[in-house]
Amino acid sequence: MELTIQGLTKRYKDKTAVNNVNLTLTPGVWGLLGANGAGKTTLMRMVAGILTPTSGKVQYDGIEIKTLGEAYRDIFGYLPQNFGFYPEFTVTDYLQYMASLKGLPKKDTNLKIDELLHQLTLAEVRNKHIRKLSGGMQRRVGIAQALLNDPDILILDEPTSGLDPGERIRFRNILSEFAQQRIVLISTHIVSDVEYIANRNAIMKDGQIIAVDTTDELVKMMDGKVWQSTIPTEQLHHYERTVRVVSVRNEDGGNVSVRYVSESPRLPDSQTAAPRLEDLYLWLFRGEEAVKEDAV
Amino acid sequence: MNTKLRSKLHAALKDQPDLQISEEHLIQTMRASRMAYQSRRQRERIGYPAFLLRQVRFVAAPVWLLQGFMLLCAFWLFGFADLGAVSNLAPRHLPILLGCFAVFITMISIPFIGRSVQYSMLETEMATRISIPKLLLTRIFIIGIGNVLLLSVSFLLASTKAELGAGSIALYLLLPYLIACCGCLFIQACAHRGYQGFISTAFCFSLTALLFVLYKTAPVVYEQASVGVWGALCALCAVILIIGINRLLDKAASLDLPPDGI
Repeated sequence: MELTIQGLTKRYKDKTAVNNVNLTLTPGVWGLLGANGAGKTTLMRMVAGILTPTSGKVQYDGIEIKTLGEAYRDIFGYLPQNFGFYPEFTVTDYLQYMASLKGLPKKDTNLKIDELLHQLTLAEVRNKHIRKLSGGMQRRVGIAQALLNDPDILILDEPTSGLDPGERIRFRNILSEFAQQRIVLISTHIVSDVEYIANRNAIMKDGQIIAVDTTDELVKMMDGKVWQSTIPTEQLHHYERTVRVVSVRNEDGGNVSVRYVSESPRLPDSQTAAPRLEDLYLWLFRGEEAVKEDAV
Repeated sequence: MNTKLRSKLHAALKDQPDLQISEEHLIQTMRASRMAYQSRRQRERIGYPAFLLRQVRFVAAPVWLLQGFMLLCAFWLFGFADLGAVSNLAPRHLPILLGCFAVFITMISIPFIGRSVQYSMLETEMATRISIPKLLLTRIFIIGIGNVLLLSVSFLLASTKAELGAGSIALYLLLPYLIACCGCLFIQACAHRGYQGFISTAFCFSLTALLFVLYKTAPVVYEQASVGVWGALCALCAVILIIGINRLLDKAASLDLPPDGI
């Protein structure tokens, strides 16, 4: 099973959202990392077949998804970033409606809904109106609909936004179990979500894929660029302006332990630290973050 | 083998004029294809009739509820004339009453076609097995059943009470209904996403006002002599409506999401 993205480009009037993306997705969990506006959602929509590319193509096992049509959508699960629902729907109504759109027979539908509601701990709210549920619960309902047809390809756009830490962990476990022999693509800007479950990651910036590799290999790029130093609290503000700080932890005696990314040590008594995916993300997207902060 | 696949294979083989196909290779290919076909996961899926029936619960419930209310209104307006609603108006005012009622039938039902956009469901629905044109067609069919029933009941009730001919009553109902449908479908296809419901409602109210103004300022429009024109316009609108539905389905088939989402 293989999903091949070849020279995929999407241009709007004044903007190129996705620019000549090439990527081959194989079974496993794939993380698609990138800052807001990097082109993740546009890329996912084209892979989902709901957005026509300006140029390039997406092939599933060598056949273009446009040609496959219904057959492709049949093995496909998708959770969009903007997840909507009809106001009169309860959780069960919504899942039954989506099951009918996915062509599931009635007998399979009820069994599958029961299974998913238990897996995603939604059984107790099955008869509640979706509009009355919390954001996290609504998101879980969205995840349930994506899994209804037991898809071979699952695409989730920001699936963990609005989930609390417990729900996040449960979601990761469900997905790890589910991803056996399936292609799962998760788009997020929450690095920790993919760090634990993604077999491979693609990093997107300005509409292009700038790196594709396993988490370990990507993290290696940061060897010798992550530093840790303990400084007096009053100096923190000064250093924050000169280096890219990943995290700050309070220590005894009025000191703080600072983790930062830099080509060379910039703080006194800096020691190298073991890099993580989060460090790489901050390294690659430092420009965008600065722009965003300035804008705010 | 389906025709599309056959022609594709034929075209591909044409590009390879020197290709030698042996019997042995053919058998091997057939065996490999059969194995690949059998090893795929079997997925039982429902056909379109079963899908249509299951949609009744989700699509029809809210529409039929409103249409049921309109049915009660039809009985009140045209059925129980002695109770007062039309007794003082009919038969002189019946044409305008029928016209306005027909426009309201459209007004309450057509916005249901564009619910996917209104409630941000389109993106989720587009990624499912059933295509958006099929889903729209299903909605139009379900809404149409209710509308045909409403128009028929109104026609029968008005026929029993009014002195107008059956043909005239049918035209006074059908023409405003068809104009309203054409206009609303045009709005669904062309208006900015999210505003279709509002614009459709505004259009229907404007049409009702126009009917009323015509009735007040040019009563000749509603006289027996104009029936031929009404008939011709009805036929024209029916053709435009069919074209409009086709265009809406075509547009839905090539639907693209805007960059800022829906």
